[in-house]
Amino acid sequence: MNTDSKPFSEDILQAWVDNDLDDMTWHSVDDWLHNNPSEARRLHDYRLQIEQLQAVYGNIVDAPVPEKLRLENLRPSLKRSSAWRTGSLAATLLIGLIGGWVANSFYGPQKDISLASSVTGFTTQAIAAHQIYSAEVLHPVEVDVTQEKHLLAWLSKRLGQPVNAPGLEQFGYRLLGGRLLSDEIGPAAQFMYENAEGRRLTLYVVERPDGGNTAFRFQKRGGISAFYWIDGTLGYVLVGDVDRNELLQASTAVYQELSALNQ
Amino acid sequence: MRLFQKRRVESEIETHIPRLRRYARALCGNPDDADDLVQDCLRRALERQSLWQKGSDLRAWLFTILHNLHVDQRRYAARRPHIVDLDDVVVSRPPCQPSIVHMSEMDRFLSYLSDEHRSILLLIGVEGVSYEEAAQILNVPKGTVMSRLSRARDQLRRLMSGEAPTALRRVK
Repeated sequence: MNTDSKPFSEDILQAWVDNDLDDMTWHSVDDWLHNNPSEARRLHDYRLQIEQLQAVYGNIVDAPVPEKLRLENLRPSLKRSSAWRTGSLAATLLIGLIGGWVANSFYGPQKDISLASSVTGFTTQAIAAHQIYSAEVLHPVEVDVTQEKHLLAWLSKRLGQPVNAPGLEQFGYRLLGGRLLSDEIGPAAQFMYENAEGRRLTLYVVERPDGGNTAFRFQKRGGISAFYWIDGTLGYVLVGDVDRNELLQASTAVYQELSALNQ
Repeated sequence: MRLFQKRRVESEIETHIPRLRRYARALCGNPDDADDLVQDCLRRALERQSLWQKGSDLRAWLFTILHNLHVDQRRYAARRPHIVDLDDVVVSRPPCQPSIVHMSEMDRFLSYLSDEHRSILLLIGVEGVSYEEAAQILNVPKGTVMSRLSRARDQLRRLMSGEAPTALRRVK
């Protein structure tokens, strides 16, 4: 590119790409480009870029606007009731479930499909629950850590077996508390942790009546990472918007602490 | 606050939702984050609609709110290490076929650009806003809009011609 001899500024050339010039300037740029093939190629590539961006993203405007973006659901005057929240959670979970099921029926291995899809199912629910509750500023948990004993007793009772909240202090995360959630196969517990920067991890625990043991598996959805595994009659998902390695280390620590407790 | 006036502004806001979604989708690279961003944007717009000056460009105002929220969220996200999928760790990619680019491919190209570059490409190329409007939305002088646009287009061109994204990262 011979920049010294360019009679037009880069701004003018960009405006040529965007058809944002008066006729006279536009034509003189056009004429100049006829004798400058490399510049012509460059600017035509930019136009092609625009066409491709429009081709790829253009028709998103025609997609129906989802329920969660309807203004009547978002008005500040409207009290955001817990019923609305529950509805939204249910919708998210339902979409996740359907998505997980569809994905599995297409891509999942043919054998052992019931286990595979239910594992994907609870991971999807764990991620959805993480997305909803980790964004909560005021009410991230139902029962906070000051009542940890009560929290664990309550969740253990609901899940029908001892449930523990492992420590993640070594990774800089402290327990905030937890809540009870509803999973497709029964009650589930969510523990929430937070580090000094306000980043949150959640540990989702759900009963697995069929039992079993699996290795750690990784899933990522919408920028959220999750490691999940089944240990005995409980399934676990550690979820966070964090680096995969950091999450793997934390998952390993959780697994070790919990299996030590269960022995 | 006169309810009638409020409802009128709201119905006007409503007409912009599809475009906010499109911009957010391309900006975020996935539909979930995009709709969350639009939801936050709409909430904020509804809370602050009394601050919107009648007669000024409502679309630019909404895009400005969305942009600011995105910047805040990215600033938060920037404090954590960058996540790269194993699939993304490639030295270079073959040049893509002109005019047949899938959304996932374009998402990937855009993900290698900085937020500033991605925003400007999308605002000008997809949303069709003027340079002046883009300057207003991004809260930078028009000169900055032009220089970012030029750099962004150059980077996307290099990526699409098969250049390794690592080469861009270094430059920032």
